[in-house]
Amino acid sequence: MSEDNFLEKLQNCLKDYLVDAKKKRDRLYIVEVKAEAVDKVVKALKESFGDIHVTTISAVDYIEYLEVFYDLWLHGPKVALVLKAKVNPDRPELPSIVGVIPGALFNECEVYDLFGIIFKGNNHLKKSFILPEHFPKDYFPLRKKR
Amino acid sequence: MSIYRLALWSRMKSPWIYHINTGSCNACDIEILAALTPRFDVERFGIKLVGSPRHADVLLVTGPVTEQMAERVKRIYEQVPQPKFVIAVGTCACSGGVFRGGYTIKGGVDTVIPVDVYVPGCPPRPEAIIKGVVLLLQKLKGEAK
Repeated sequence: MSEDNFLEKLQNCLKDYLVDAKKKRDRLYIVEVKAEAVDKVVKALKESFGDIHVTTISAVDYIEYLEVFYDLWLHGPKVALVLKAKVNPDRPELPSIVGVIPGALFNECEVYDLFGIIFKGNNHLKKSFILPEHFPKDYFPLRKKR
Repeated sequence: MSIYRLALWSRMKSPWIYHINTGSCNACDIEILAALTPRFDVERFGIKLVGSPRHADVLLVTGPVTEQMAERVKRIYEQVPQPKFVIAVGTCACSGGVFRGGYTIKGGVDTVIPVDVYVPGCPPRPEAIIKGVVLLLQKLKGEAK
């Protein structure tokens, strides 16, 4: 499988969940999807492009909304894919991808600890995963507002 | 033909690896060592680190390719006997990473030599590196059929 027509294939594969998809440069694509369908997106990607490697999961606080990033590598077409999903900062929830990629467990726990984003379906989320144990339980240090 | 299949079979059972650092910060190298030493111990599967590219089947390249290293990586690649395979370990080796565009940096490993498997991560976990080697072996198996 090569990179040819990858954007087209991607749009076909994710057409129900896609918000925006663009090519940043060779072998790097940036895709925004609906937050409530992240697990379905990853499953669809795995079914059509083969093995997925989760490099990291992170988030950015834009105050009006939180943006969750999934840095993925698709071993089939050999491209890097940045999956973005916007969530509401008052109710930051989105489905967990642990059911599809068990290796994402630690990354999701870390994002929960630092941003308070709840990954529904991940049963291991708890505070003080990487922060010290005496850290306040309702304080998420990478959020811009408390 | 049969001798070729025998060679392929033995290569799949025990891929010998030569590790090149082309300007890496050493994090990926430490992870590769972690994969080789007793905690993960890939040597029990026959994956062995060798001291010379002339003995190797697989090149494990870490780090962005610097202008100085580009020529040398090519020379090392040419010394590996056919058929040869390359695994790029780490984000820098995959694309240049944060060093991309720097004045001493040529780019990812694929700007100099062809790459078969990419293992991104900064640094990638030893499991991810092992997965990269397994993917390569699966690819070889596909060719063997």
